[in-house]
Amino acid sequence: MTALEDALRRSMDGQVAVLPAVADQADRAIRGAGVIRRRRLVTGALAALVLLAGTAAALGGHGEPRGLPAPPADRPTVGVTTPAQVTPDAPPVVDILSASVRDGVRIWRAADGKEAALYGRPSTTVVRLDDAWLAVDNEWNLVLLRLDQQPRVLFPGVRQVAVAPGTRSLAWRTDSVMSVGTVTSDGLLVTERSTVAPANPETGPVLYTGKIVLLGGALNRGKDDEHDFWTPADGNYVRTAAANDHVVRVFGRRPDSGRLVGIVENPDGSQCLAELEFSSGMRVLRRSCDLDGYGFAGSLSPSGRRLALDLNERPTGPAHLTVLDLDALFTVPKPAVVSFGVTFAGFGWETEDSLIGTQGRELFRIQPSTGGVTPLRVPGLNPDPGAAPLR
Amino acid sequence: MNEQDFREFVAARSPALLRTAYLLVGDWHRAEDLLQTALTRTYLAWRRLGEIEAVEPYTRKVLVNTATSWWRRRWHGERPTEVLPEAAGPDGADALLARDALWQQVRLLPTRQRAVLVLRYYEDQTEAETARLLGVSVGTVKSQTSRALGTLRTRLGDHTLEGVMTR
Repeated sequence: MTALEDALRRSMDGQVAVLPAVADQADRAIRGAGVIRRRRLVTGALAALVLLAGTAAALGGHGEPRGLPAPPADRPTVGVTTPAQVTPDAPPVVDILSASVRDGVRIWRAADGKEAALYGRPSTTVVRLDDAWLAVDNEWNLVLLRLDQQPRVLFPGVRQVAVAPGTRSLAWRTDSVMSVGTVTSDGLLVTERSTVAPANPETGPVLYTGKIVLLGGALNRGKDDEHDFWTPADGNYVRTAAANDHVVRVFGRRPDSGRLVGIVENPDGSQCLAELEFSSGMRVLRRSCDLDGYGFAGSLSPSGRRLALDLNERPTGPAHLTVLDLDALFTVPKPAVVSFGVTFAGFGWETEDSLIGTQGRELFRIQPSTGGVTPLRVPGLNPDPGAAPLR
Repeated sequence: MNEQDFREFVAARSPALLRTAYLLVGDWHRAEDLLQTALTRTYLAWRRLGEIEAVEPYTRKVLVNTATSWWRRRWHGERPTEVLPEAAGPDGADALLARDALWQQVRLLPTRQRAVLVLRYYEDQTEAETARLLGVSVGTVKSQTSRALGTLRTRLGDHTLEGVMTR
């Protein structure tokens, strides 16, 4: 051991002699993992945005989850928009991915009110593909899941996949290659175009329109994620991620305007919620900087008008589900925001005015118009932690 | 292993992992972020890891690999500089200053060299284990260590080095 080596040891020991207090690391990791799983569950149109200022609080009279923090006192309660379309305790009107990452894939189907065990392997990703589903299992196989049929491996070594909403077209990446293609009605994957995959192994398809692939990080953590585009009809993928460096996170694409909704970072390090042009450069079209504490999770409502997202109470504090009206957000100085004061491990939209969230093995219906959070106990639906709507 | 096991693992091992994360990235906020990433990935792999003994090595590997991966380098910027911190004065500028000067120079090392030093001299990992964690050969660990120490000697200069070593 030289004197310099000894000095190095002392120097490093000294640097970390005092640790800052960090809370909720396990909770945040579990929540973050739930976010990743959920993002992988939602086909192309996953996602959304975060936002803003003087929030509202409202945990409806019924069904307040046990042990949850009360809504922040400094956030006024403000109702948001349309009346609920679903009775609070009615069974879900969308399919529920009730299990995927533990022992295998089970999906509760709203059509017949039954749970179907579709695959015996843990899967990190499950997305809808027309009348079937795609899974990426723990061996990185892309697998086609159909009712009453054996699972079929379509492609090995798949890291990320995104399905164009309402189609059988998909984009996927392996370690080295990125492709788009179609699953035929008889269950065959036809590759239509391939290119070299992004050098960053975490970057892959997160959204596919059928023409353009949005690339992002599966972790969707911001900062160290890069965002980019690939238009297969134009040829091979050419990296332009540097032009999109201002984008921290993308939650999804509004079906009405085609704009992306996400978080951008300003030169001073502050962050804003923004609508972005769906092309390289990701120009900011509308921006709101009234909120802060954006969490990792976010989901756009089916119309794209609303955004459900986690807002952190403080940088390392708990993330509370909040629902924003995006059109109001970008046009009104202090738009109404519904803050539920509740943390859900996973959540996703069921209808335009109803979300389903999970805490452990419990499901809750969350209704922004009333502020209600109602436990959902549905015979035959046995959710694992991380269960989520599968639109 | 269930969720409670994970919580217990995090409670028990987070302080040590956070220290390592800080030494790898040189900033507490980024260290928290790095650790959070590692824990999130650990939780995603929790069921597959099988036994608790496999968890910490996995988390540590994620921590190190994430810190040294190219996009994270882009993220926090290496900020290499030829402008060195002032050396401790001949009148005995105290050892703390000298030690800080050493740390400042460690922070300016290329990410992988810094990681090698952290693993070797803070965590007391063997060369073989350091190589395994970084996914490189033992020879690379040796050469990176040698290069990093040489750089520190050169940059600190005799005077500051003396202050560091006689502390």
